[in-house]
Amino acid sequence: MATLFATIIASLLVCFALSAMTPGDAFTQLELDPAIPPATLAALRARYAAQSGVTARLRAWATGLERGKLGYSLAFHRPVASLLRERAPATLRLLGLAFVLAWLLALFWALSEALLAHSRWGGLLHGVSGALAAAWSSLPVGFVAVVALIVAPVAWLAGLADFGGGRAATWPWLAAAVLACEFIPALYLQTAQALQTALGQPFVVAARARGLSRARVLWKHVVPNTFDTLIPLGSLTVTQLLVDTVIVETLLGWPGLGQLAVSAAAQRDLPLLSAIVLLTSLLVIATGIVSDLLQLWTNPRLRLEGEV
Amino acid sequence: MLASRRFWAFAAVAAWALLALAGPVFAPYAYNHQDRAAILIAPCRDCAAAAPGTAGGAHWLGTDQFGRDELSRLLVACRVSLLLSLAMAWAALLVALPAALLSVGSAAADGALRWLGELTRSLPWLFMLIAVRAALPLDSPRWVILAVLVALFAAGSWAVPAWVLRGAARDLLRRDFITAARAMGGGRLYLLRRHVLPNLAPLAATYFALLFAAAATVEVSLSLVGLGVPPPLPSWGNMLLPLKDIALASRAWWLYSPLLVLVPVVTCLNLYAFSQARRRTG
Amino acid sequence: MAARLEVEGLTVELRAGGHRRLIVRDLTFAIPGGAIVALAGPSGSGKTLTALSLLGLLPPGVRAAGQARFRADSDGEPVNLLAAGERRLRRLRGEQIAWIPQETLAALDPRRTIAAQMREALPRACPRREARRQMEALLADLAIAEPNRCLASYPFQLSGGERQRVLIASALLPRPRLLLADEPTTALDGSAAAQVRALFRAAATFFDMAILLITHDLAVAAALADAIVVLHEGTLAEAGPAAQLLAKPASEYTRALLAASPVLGARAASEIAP
Repeated sequence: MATLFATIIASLLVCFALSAMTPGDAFTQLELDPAIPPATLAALRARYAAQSGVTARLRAWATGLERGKLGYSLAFHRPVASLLRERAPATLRLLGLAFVLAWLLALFWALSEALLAHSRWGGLLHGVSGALAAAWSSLPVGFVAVVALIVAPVAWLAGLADFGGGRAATWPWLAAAVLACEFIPALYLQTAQALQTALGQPFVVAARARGLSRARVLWKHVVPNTFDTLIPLGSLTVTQLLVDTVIVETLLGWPGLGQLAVSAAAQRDLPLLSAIVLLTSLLVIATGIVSDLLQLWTNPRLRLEGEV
Repeated sequence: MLASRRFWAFAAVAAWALLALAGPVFAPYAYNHQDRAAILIAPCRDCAAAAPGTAGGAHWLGTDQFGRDELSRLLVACRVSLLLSLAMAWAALLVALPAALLSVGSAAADGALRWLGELTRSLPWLFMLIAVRAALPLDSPRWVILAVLVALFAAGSWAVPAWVLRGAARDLLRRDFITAARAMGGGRLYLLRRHVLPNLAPLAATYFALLFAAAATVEVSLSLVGLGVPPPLPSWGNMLLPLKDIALASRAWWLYSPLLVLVPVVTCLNLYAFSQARRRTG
Repeated sequence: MAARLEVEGLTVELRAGGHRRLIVRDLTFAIPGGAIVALAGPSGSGKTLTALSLLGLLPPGVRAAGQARFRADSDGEPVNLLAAGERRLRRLRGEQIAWIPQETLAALDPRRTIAAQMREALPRACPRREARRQMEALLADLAIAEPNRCLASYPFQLSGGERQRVLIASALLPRPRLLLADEPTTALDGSAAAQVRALFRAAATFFDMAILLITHDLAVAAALADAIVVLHEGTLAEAGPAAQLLAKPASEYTRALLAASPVLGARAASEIAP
């Protein structure tokens, strides 16, 4: 838990350190505009960036945070909080949908393989799956995004900003599918391996000896015993998804936090970038907590004895 | 041995490495040589017919939107991506392996490294890359940008291999032959060098392959959002940039050429890594 | 009268990476209804795999050949367990042929309660209250102090001895026609073991149950079995009525096994010495 809080602080510190190294600030762009007199620039600077020096700015931002204000975005001319409120749901939808799609497909794949393992095609399926997973992982998410734009029918492009869907009112099926594609092979491999380990346990044979079918044993005994591996994997998936959302949102024009972050960095908008980093770190922390709770709930030994 | 998957994977990667290192020597054109009369022409043997006014000669893989020969750029890109991915994977492993060994040395180091690993795993290193790239002055030398890529990749990826290697090292140290070596008076450093490292090598090799594969694919995604190898130096990623234009992407099929090399190589690396992993548990 | 189980020429073979290794070679024995036959031999002689082959639950890469005729009733049609399909075997497993595994902790799912796992041994049609009553009664017969507490527990909360008795109870619950017991008393102390032996004997006598008792200790066989089959490196070393075999062992392997037994060995040694 302490680690996760340290994470937020560390990321914020890095952001501030980088901005300190940057020559120029949010007003650097305006300098290039010959129509704006230097006096105006100086006045603007005095008004919004009265503090010089990183520590002073950091302190100012931190006190603002304490009071519940996230600052003002100079690049977008709006309070940061309202920008986040508008964009965050879009990213959350994308993340949620991609998470569900990726896990559903990976689980289906791994479970089918486990169920058919003993049959005639079991060995073949295993080999083909392995090769398919290896080849699938070689496709970079950015490339899949680009190809998706070409291949997808026009109807699926609804909701993407570049295609006239400015508000994130719809569900980002295409973007989520592209994002999920990146994770399915790795999730399948991990799940298949976890199932394999669980299947090798003696209690599986004991359950079959009681007359249970392979499917019932798989569902009632094997799958629950993979939770210890799969639940942490789930939280790791969220963290990695957050990283890839930036790429997918930028390439497919989904108006979420990732796209916002790229714009913020391009325009050196420090309060906005810091707020996004803060929000994403909070999301990672929340996922960690949920994952710990889930493990506690599903593992009786952890619940009753505190450790395995 | 010929039937083993490992052999073929290794052979494929070796062939690609050879192509990458020696290939540019055989490139018919310089990678940034532009022929304005020969823009976006399909692969042709004698291009004088396809593009009047051109200097003639063959373009085996066509030309891109600036009239640069695609084949030559691909050969150079192979070398660039090879070296960059190598550097990224090496950097990550160079942090992971000593970290793992240090953590089996003392409990304090173990705790510290565990904490550090969790921290770096949760940090949004992509945002940091964006921020750093934005912070760098526009005329930064190329090597600075590439160094930043390598450093941030290593920072983001060292944690998982370090954790697994640490686990494997601990298991090794508990084994009987270590006790025997200790009984014979072997000091810690000796044990590490003679017994632990050689036995960790296969696991480290597996992770090297995975990191290499990840580095190559990550570079492509980053280039497509403008954070990869800076043009005009070609890499697999930035050679795919023109495909962001939908019209081009559906028409100029030869521009997909980097995938011809990327997909087989990364697939082979993955197959190698997976077969190692499956053998260990199966 | 036809025997409950007739094993003829059973061969178990391991196939791994191009190698073939015979684990059990041409084993032949029979178990009549109501009899207890011990399959004795040192560890690694293929005893457990023999039993698993009868259930069709051999690990991957292991194959069995031969005949294993099982008759649920003396006038019923025999089923060759080694050739039967999965569906047929599944109907037999649990209700007709039950298995008591050797490991205690690993043979129970750590995430489900004892009650849930024991319930699986009974037919699904059996109503919950009746199932619960039977489980409690059987656990009480096996000298489990608080059957209710035991049923509500998870495997890691019980002692090794309690777990073994739970596994025994799970196997006996559906009153199978054939019981395959793999080292069923190793985790039990003297009195508990005696109680289990009494229960086995009662089951054999009153429920006409055929029991295959797998053990590496001839003392256990001596206390319980009617006949003993001695296995050495996968082949039949010696077989015969228990009393006769123990008194006058014909094979050197039987003698070695006798000597290895903590109880019988000492007795035999003292009998040899004048």
